[in-house]
Amino acid sequence: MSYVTHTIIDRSGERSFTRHHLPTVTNANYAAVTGNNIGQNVGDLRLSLAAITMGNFVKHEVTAHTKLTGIVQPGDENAQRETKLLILCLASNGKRFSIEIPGANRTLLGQPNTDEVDVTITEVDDLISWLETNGRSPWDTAFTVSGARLVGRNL
Amino acid sequence: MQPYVTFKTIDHSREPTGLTVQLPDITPTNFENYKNTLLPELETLLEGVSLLTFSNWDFVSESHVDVGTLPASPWAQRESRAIFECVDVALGRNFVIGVPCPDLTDMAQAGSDAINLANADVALYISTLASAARSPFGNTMAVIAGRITGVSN
Repeated sequence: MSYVTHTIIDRSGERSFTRHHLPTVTNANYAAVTGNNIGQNVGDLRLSLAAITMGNFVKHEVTAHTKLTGIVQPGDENAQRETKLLILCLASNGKRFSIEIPGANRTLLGQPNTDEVDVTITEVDDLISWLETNGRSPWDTAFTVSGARLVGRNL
Repeated sequence: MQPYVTFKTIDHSREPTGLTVQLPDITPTNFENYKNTLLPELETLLEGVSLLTFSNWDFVSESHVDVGTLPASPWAQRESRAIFECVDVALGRNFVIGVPCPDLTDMAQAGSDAINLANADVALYISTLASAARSPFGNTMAVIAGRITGVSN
């Protein structure tokens, strides 16, 4: 399932949304469907939408693919969103950020006498390699993982 | 803004949670690699370090910020809404699309809340939906009616 979501601002400064589903996106039609120019699906929709709304566009996002398989409730009572794996990252522009993974498996990740996670554990190392290779920082730069620790959340 | 994937799941307490991972630019060349290979890989890797399942995700491949200035008209209010009643051409299933801040000078008719589908701007929107959009079920769609409505909050 693919769709475009337009965020629209009104005279009161309030934002609202409208969503239009799109044809299934592939490599072959990627530009034609997701492009914002006249003659491309998203571009044509924006143009025709702009003609019938008095609000102004704030943002539009194309969700090119949605995977919905039904949410599975984990059976393990330790599977709690309050327990997180915090991955500390350093972007190539020198800025730091983090990625939090809920439901951290403390049986695998926990070490005595510290909250630090051993990043050489196979599962962690593989995840870090994926993130460093295929992910980006919030500033659209490459990044490296500088460490990981077990944390929680307070609500 | 750059592309991202958002994983959505629940924990043992049925509380919703998830995470977002930023991605590089998505192009006609790498889209299917991310969709079919890399993101399923990431799903598996996340489940390797977490007790949760991450099988539901949204892959946002394009995210663009517009100017977003306040509209000039005091009638441009999100509380006013045009609802288009649509049908999936293949399945016959109905669904609706809501458009906030509708320009009622385009679509209002005296004595009715029904939208004037023959108005040029409305007709362009409807024909664009038929050609460029799809139903939530993945098929072509058609607009069968429209009404002026509102939202209360």
